[in-house]
Amino acid sequence: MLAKASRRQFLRGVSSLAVAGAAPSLSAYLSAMASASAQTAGDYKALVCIYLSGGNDHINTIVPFDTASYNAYYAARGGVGLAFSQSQLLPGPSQGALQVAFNPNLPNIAALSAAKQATVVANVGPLIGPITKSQYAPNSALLPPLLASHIDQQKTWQSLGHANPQGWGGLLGDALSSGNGATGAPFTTVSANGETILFLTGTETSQYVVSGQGVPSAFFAAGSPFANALLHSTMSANLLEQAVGGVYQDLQDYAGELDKALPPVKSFPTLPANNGLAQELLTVARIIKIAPSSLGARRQIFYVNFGGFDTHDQQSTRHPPLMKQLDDAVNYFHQIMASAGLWSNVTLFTMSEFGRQLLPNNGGTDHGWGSHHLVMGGAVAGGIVGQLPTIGVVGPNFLQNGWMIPTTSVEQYGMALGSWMGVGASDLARIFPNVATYSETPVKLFF
Amino acid sequence: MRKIPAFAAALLLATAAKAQTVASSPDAQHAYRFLAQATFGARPTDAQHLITDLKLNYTAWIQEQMASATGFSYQSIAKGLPCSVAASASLSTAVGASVTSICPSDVSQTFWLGAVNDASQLRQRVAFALSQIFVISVEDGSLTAWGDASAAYGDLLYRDAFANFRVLLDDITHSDAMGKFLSFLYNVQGSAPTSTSPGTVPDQNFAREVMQLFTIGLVKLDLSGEPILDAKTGQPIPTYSQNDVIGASNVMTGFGPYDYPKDIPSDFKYDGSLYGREDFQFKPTVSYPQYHSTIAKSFLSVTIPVSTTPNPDGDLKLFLDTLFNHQNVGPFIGKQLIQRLVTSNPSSGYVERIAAVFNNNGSGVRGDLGAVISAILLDPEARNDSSVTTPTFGKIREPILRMAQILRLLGGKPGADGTFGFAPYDPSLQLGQYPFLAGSVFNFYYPDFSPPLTALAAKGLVSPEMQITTTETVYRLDQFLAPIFAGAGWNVGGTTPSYAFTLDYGGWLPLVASNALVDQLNLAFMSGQMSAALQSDIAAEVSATKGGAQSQLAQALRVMIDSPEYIVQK
Repeated sequence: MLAKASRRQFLRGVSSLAVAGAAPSLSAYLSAMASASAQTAGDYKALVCIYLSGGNDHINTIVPFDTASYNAYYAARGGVGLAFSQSQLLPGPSQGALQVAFNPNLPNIAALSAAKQATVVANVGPLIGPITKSQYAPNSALLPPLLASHIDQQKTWQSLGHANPQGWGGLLGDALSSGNGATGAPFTTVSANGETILFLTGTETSQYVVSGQGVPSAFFAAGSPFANALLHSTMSANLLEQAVGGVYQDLQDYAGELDKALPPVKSFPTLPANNGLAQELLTVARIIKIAPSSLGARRQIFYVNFGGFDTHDQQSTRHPPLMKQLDDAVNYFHQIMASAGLWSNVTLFTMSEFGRQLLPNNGGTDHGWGSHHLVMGGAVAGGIVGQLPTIGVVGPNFLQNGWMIPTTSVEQYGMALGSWMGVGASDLARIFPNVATYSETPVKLFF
Repeated sequence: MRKIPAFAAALLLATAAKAQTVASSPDAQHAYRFLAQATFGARPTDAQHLITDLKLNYTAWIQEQMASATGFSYQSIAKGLPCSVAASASLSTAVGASVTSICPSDVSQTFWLGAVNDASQLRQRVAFALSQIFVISVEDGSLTAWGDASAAYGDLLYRDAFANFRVLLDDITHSDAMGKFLSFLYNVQGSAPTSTSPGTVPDQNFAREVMQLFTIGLVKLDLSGEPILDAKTGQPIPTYSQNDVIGASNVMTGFGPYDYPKDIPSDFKYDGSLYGREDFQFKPTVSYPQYHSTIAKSFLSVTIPVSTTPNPDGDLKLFLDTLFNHQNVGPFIGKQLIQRLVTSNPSSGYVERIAAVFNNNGSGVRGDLGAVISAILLDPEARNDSSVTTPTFGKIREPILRMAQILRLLGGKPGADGTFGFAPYDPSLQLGQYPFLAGSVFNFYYPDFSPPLTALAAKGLVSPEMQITTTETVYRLDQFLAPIFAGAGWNVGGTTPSYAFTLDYGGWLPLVASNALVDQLNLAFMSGQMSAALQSDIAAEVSATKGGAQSQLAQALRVMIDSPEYIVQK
C-alpha cells in the first residue's frame, strides 16, 4: 500500500516553505478570511462545481450593460451577429458606473441575482501574480504556462498549476474528510460525471464516482468467487490490474451504503428534457438529501460537467441553448434544495478553462484567458465581486486580440469557497499558497 | 425488403464459419497475444492461420494484412443502413433528386460491422487508434448534418492507416468532417479595425489543435518522447506560442467544400443545401482564394510575407510541411500509437526506436506509418514473454475493445436491421464509449492520465483508460453485459424478444461440462495469461451457477470480462 501519511507530510513540508517565503501580509489576510466564516458544529455544507467544458463565452453570459460598456461590446461583437440587443438582456448588478446584464436565456439565474442569491465574480483566471497589459508577452514567465490550451487550462483551473497532481477540491476534501466520520468520509468528494476528475483528486481522499444515471451498486456478493476474481488483483504484481482492482474495492466497501440510502428519482420533480447537467445535479441532490442523516457527512464537494462551450463557430445557434440548459438545471436544483430547506447549505459555482476572445471570428469566438463566473446559493452575498473590466482592446483590461487579463486569481476564488466550507486558515494557506501575492483583500462571496 | 449491402452479406457468410477451438500451447499463446494487440480479437481461424500457415511469422502476417483489400467502406455500408436509407428517401423527396444522406449514428454502426467482421483486422485496429488521435465527434452537434462527411472520414483513416503521415495529415486537413468539427471549413480572413469596430480575426480552432494534438504537441520532445528542458529554467520548452496559433489561423482561411460556389456563390457560410449531399461531402475540401488571408503569417519560425495574390494551397502546403518535418512528430505520434496498441507506459527506448522508424523507415522515407505500425508490433518490448510479467506493462482494454472482442469470439451477428444496435444518443446504452463519439477533440481520455492514489501514480506512470474506469462505469458496463451473456444476445424488445445482436454459443456450450471451458476462455480472451486464482474463481462460479450450460457459460464470461486480469491487455 501507499505510504499516504508520508506523502502528506511531504506536501505539508513543501507548502510550509512556500508560506515562509510569502508576503508579510499573509497572516493578516488569513485572519481576515478566518473571521469571515467560522465553522459551526452540526451543520452541513456542500460545494457543487459546475464545470463549463470547452471555455465559456463569458461576455455573452454576463453581458456589459451600462451604455459605454455596452457600446464597446456591440462594436466588437455586433458586426458578426454575436451581440444581444440591449432590450433582450436581463439587467443585473452594478459596480460603480459599470453594470452587467444576464444572457436572455438566464431568467432564473437573473432572478437569483436580484434576490442576492447569485454573485457575479468578475474576470477570474489563472495568474502567477498581478500582471499588466504592458507586461504581457507570449510564453513569458509572468504568465501561467500554456494559456489557451483546453487541457492545460483545465488542469490549471482545477489544480492551480498545469502539472500539479492534486486538485484544490481534493485538497479541501483532505482537510474536511475527518469531520465526516467513518461513513461520510468516503463521500467527501464526489464526481457526478462518471469520470475521475483532477479537481477532486486529493493526497488521501479518494473521490467517489457516480453519474447522471444514478449511483453504482456492488453487483457481486462479498466473499464470493466473483468478488475474489475482481479483488485479488489489488494484490497483483501488475500495477494497472491493481488500479482496476481498487475500483472494485471501492464498490465493495462503499457502494451499498450509498445505494441503499438514496431516495428514488420518482420522489423528485420531473427533469427538464434533454438536460444532462440537470441529470447530474439530480444525482447530487439525491446524495445531499441523505448525506447528513444517513452518511453522517457534514462537508461535501461535488463536481458536475457540462460540455459544448467551445463555440468557435455557429455560436449564435450553439451558445443560447447551453445558457438555457444551465439556467433550467440551476433552477431545478434550486427548487429541490429550497423545498428541502437546504438552499443555504449549498453553494454552486462555475469553472471553465478560459473565457473567449472579445474579437470574434466570422461566426464564433476563440480561446481567451480571464472569464466571469457565477456563485449561487442561499449563503452568497449577491452583487458583483472582483473588478469588472473596461470593455475594449485598446483599454487596460484586454490584450489586442481580446483576451481579458484576469484581475482575480483562481486561487482567490477557490480560497473564498474553501473558507465558507470552514477549512482552517493554515490549510487554506497550504492549498492556496500564492493567494496573498495577488491582493491583500480577500474575495468576499458570502455574508 | 431492405437490401443488404454486399459487404454485409459477405459478413454473414463469414460468421457462419464453423466454430472450432485451438489447443493451448506456447505457440498458441504467443499467437493470441500478438493478435490481441493487432486485431479486435482472434477467432480460432485467425489464430490457426498465424500458427500453422505462417509458422508464427509475425512479419508475414503484418505484410499479408497490409496487402489485404476487403472492399470495406464506411460510405457504401453506412448508406445501406436503416437510418440513412430513411434520411436519404426523405431528403431526395425534398430536393427532387436522388441524394444520399448518411446518419452520423450509422457511421458508428459501420465501425462495429468493420471491427467485428472485416478481415482487414490490423487496418481496422489501427484506424481505431488513429480515430482516437485525430478525433472527430458528433457529441457537440457540429457534425449532425455531416454524416456523409463523417463516413468519408472513417474511410480516410482506414485508407491511410499504413500510408505516409504527410498524406494522412493532408487528407485530414482536406476533410469536410474535420473542417466542420474543428471549424476551419468556411473560415475567412479577419477584418482590420475601423473607427466603429475593433475588427475580426480568423477562427483559431484547427490551427491550434493540429499542432497540439495531431502533430507536435505542446512542448519540445527528445526522440524518446521526454520533454527537453530549458537549460536555464529547468522547465519544458513550449513548441509554439499564441502568435504561432494566430499565424496558422490565417493560413487556415479560404477552405470550403468541393464545388461550393456553383450552388451558393454569395456567402461563404454553412448552408443547409449541402447537408446530406455526398456529392459535396465525400470529396476533399478545395480553396476559395477570395476568403484567404493575405497578411504576413508566422508560425514555427517560418514567415509567409504579405502577398497581393492569395495563395491558400501554397500557404497550407508550407504549414503542413513544417509540421510534418518537426522533430516532435515521431515521438509524439509514435508513443500514442504504442499506447493504443500495446502498452500505456512504453520504455523510453521503445518510444525512441519507433520514433527513429518514423524519422526514417530504413529507405530514407520519413513518416511511413506502415513501417511504424510494424515496428510497434514487432518491437522486443511488445513481443518478449518477459513483458507479460513486468508490473508496469500493458494497457486497459477500453469498453469498445472489450465489446468488439466479445462479438468476434462469441459469433456476434447483427440484428434484423443489419447493425449491432450501438446507435449513439441512447441514454439506456451502458457501454460508456462509442466510436466517433468522444466528449471532445481530446478523445475519451487524456494520454497522460494517471489514476490518483494508486501505486501506478506513485511511480509517475499513466493509464489513460483509467480516466473512464470508475466505480460508476465498471458497474454500468457489468449491468449492460450480464443480460447479454445470459440471453446470448442483446434483447432490446422487452416482452417480445427483439435482438440488436445475437451471440452464437454453439462451439462454447459443449465445453461447459468439461474442464476445457476455462482453458479455452483463457486462451481465446486472455492469451493464456489467466492466473491460477482467477481460473479457480471462474470454475467455482460455474459450479455454483444453476440453470444449465448457458447460464454457467454466461457467468463464466461475466466474471472473466469484469476481472482486472482480463481488462489489462498484456
